[in-house]
Amino acid sequence: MALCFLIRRKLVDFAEQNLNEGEVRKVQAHLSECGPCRQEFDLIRKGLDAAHGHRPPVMDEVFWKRFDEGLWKKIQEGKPSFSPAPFLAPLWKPAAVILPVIIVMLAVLTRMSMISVGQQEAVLVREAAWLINESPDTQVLSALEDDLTDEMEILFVLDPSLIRKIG
Amino acid sequence: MELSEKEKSLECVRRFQEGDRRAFDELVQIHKRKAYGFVLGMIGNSEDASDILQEGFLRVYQSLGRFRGDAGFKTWFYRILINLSRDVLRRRGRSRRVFAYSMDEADEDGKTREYPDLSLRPDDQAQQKELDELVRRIASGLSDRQREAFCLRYFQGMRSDEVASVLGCGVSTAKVHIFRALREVGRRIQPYLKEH
Repeated sequence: MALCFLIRRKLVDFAEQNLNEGEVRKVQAHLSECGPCRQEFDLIRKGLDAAHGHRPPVMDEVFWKRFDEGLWKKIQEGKPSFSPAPFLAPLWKPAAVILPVIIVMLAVLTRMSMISVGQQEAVLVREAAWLINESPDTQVLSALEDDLTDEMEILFVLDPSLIRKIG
Repeated sequence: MELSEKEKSLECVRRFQEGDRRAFDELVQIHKRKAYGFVLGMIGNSEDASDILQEGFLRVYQSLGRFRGDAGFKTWFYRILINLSRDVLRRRGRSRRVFAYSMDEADEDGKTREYPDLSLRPDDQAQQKELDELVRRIASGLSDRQREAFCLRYFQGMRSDEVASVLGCGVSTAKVHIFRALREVGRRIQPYLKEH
């Protein structure tokens, strides 16, 4: 099978007689004993016969005169007669790749900025603690106490008897 | 001493870049006939082939001033033609339609009429014409890469390395495309050969 693979790569050159003598002998020997490669070679030979038998079209002078006239007209107009592709066609493939990347990057950046906001707050708290000569933990506790006082005030407004009961 | 086609082309390019606009016309005369056969094989439709070829020459005219000649004029020109052909095929919706393009019937005013080869007998002429159309029709049914490699190799007579350079791939890849194209053409032409 590996040998078939190597031989098949040389079949076109073999058919076009572009191989050296040693290679020709190798290919001939393989073809004499390998049916599938022989079949393959037969198709290649038929394809080659057809290709070599084909003649290029010979157009008459009227055709070429019109062709030249049309070409010079286009050159004088100086612009392509047809756009090679719709405007957006070359863009949609790169866009399909780039858009998800941009979305992911935006998501990551947003997340990172949220983290950095949290970090900034922590820095501010530390700085504030230093300014008033307290540890950050004390600051947090006093903030909690402030919150409790606020809640008790609200409760007192709603139901003063409740506060008296709590003491 | 007679200049080769490549040397003539490069000479025309040089003259054009120096401001001689007539050199472009010479360039068109050198390449138009062979290039038409190539585009016709690629597209399978004489009207589109003519349009694409004109468009290709127009692009050449517009950018020849910037052409440095690294790749060779022919390689550059055929790359342009391949890209234009791909665009036309894409606009057709990538359909693998095979065009029945008998050029004798194409236009009532005879503008795409093909000349008969007078060196052949009438029955030979008919047979040759049939074979030519069949091969072009089969070629237009190949996959893009196979068709491009096949047309460059057998309609233009380019070597495998030249095919690779036009297609922008390695020589071994170009050879694989040529191999597969030939195998496919052989497979598709088999029933026709059995009939005759």
